Amino acid sequence: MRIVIIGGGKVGFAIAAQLTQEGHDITVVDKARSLADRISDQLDCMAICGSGASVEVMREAGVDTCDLMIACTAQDELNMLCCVFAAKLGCANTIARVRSPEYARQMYLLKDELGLSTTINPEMTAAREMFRLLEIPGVLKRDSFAHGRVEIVEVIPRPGDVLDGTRLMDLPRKTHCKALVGAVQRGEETVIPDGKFTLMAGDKVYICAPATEIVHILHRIGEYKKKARDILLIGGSRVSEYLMELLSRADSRVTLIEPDPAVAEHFAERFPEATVVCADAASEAVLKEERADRMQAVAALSDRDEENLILSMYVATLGVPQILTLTDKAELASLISDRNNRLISPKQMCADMIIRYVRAMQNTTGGSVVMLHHLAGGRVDALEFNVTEGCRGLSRRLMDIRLKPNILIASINRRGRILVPGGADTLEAGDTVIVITASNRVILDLNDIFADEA
Amino acid sequence: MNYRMIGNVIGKVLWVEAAFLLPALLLSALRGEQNAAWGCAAAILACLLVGLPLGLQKPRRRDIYARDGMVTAGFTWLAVSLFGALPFFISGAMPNFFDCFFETASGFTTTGATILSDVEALPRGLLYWRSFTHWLGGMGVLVFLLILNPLANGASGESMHLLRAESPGVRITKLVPRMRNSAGILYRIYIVLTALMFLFLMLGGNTLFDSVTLAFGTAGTGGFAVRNDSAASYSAYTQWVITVFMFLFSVNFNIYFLLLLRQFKKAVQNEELRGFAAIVLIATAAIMMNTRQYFSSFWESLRHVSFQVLTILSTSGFATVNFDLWPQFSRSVMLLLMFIGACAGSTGGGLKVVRVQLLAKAAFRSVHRAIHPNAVHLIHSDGEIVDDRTVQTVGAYFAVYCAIVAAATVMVSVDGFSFETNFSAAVSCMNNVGPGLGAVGAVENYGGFSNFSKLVLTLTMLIGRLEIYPMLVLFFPSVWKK
Repeated sequence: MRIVIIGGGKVGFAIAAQLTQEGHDITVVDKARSLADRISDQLDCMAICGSGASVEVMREAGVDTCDLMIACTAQDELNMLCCVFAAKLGCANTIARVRSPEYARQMYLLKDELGLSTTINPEMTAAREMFRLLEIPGVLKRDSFAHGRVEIVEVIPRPGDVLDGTRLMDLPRKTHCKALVGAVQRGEETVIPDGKFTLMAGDKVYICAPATEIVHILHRIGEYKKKARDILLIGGSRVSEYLMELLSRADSRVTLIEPDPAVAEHFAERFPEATVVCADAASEAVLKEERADRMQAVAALSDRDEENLILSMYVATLGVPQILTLTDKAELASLISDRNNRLISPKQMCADMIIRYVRAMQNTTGGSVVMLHHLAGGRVDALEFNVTEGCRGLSRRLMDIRLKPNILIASINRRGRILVPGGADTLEAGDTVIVITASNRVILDLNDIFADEA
Repeated sequence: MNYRMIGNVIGKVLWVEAAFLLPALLLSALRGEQNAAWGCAAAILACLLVGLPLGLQKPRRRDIYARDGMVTAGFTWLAVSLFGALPFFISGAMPNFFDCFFETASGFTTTGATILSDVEALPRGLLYWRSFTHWLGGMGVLVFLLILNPLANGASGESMHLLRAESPGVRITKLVPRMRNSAGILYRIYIVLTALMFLFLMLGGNTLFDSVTLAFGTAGTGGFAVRNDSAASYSAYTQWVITVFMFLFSVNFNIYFLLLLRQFKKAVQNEELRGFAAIVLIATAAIMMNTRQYFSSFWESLRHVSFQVLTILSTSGFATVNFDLWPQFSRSVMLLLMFIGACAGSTGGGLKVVRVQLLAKAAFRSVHRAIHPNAVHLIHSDGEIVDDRTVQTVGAYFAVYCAIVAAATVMVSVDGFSFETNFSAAVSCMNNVGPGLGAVGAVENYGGFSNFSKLVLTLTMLIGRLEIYPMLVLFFPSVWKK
């Protein structure tokens, strides 16, 4: 597909990198020559230096003939303007990055007028993800499918707990729950396991289960912790604002530390029920004063990635049970040794959303991708598909269907009822299914998972 | 450094070379040239013997960086030249391996400098191979491989480093988003132009063999001829066809892409194209004035002078007359033209017109700065601002370039030829022209040099073709340090 990306900053670069990997023809437009040159040098795509809102530049980039235009400059207004122009030039699909909380709330009013297909808001996505993790503290990663009815969570078994040394076929009997292990990362190796696979302590285990069962499963494997109520946020960024908005509706006691008085005041005004402290969190005294060690969760959310990392590593030494770190430097994840510390990258989430959208666009038969999440550090994809009449495996028992190697059907959602699939289950039109596969294989259509019957 | 990946690429390059040796083998066999056929067969075997294990081993990691790209390009060109030399050596056509290596490197780098005094004595199969190396080398071996075989499936950041290391010019302009498609378009333009030239040559009554080899030699701007007198004994029509196509192949191929996109205005306004055309016109006019008494008519003068000017400027190196016999002024102009060379993004060599333009602009700026110390003076090219880094890079490139020419001149001097010969030989090889002045003039050859000098000049040719750095880094210890 031909895709034009306007804005080659952090997010633009990440999206361009992902989409070139998937084999699309990408053209990036950026006003700064240095950024355009960097993209042209490092990625296999074209980079044009110029203003993305100029129709002349847009024509040069081929916006009038492209399949999708993504506007992700730093300015919301510019992004929306780009989309309006692109729609006028004849581009059928446009995506705008809109980050400002004010705009985000009223975006639905404008979507049609602006000719927008969808908007992306990396900060809000990150805040939602954090909120969901705060709801179930025991898990390291939590991805929802089927409108939140199915979840895939990441847990690491400790030595001697119920998962350690358990064969997967014995798992339902031992835990008394309906669950399925979709992927396991052991050291450098990632496997999509079958029933004979034995779990070990230290593995990263990705469990797929109905949302209602998750808490139950966590109880069984001894990972359950009470939902965090006392939460400390460090840094008053956009993400903090979105997250506090979500938390204010839940029953939480939030403390925010922000060094800039003006920003602190803004937060104090918006969230009267929260404690807003105007101080530099990088000082030990401030953290002690606010009793960071007694918090059930700490989130480092400032705009400076490095500061977040260092602070979260320090907080981990205080023994805080759940730590969330906002950083776009995903490559630094290996620095984080503490198992309670979780890195959240808005940039990566945003790129994932775009990929999901693009894959759904590419799909022709309607068995489209509804949801896509990366597991095991991006080495495994979990995809949710609609099952349509065109599906090759329709109404046949799963035990009779041959799938391509390293593919697993992890869950079937039939009119809101979640089945953990066994050999006797079937796929029916109208279902949605979750498919787990290694990410080096790009699956666009549900039919791609079936082995060719020769 | 990712050695396995580098090995993998070089292995596959050797497969390509083996495949391209097949027509030479076929031609030799058909014409009953037994030695040449054996030579080609042995070379194919050698390519496969080394290439198959290298190309079939699976690298664990596929990621390569700028450094690996440079090293790969450097080794690739050494490898194709060494293996390409085998047919000449094994067939016994050239008993000295240094000669074979020189001749093949001269072919792939599209220099067209030869050590042979009697070209016509070479078997037809080998003559074909010799000309074909021009065609393949002109556009690039790695570029060709990358079109056939996208190295990393999907992720093609890797191939970019390879393409950049092999492609001449200040910076690579992408025609379309995917590098591989860009390269494909360029190669298609190249093939169409070559085919067009072949047709024109056939229409002029040339034999099939002459047409093919001349088309290859001109397309790559190489200059290997299949006759002892180079291009002198061809008809005036043929010489004109060669002149026109030497011009066409010296032009940045992006211009043709712009023409295909019907952006005629942008194509015609290209600064480099205009600069190149101006140089051709001025040089031709100046030399025509200077050599009035050598030619009987204006048209004869125009034909010969424009042919020599373009053969040097495009860095081909054919000859219809011996320009070494011209007056000193004309010879000096010709030597100057060797430095300038063709446009970036063409098959020609030399410093490239765009670099000369940038250097001139930078020089002008320094004068301007001397007068107005606080002036803000930006350098423009094609309506866009060239950042200072690029200008500095071009300046540094020129400095290294001069240093290599100087070093080559000094090393070649041990053979005791005149300074004119040594200097022009170094310049000619560095710019992939072919002929020089004096003992390496248009009707002479490089056979008189010692093995050491031949090796120096061979490396100089490779350094010139790859625009210095990919070859030069091979000699830097820091590249090899773990």
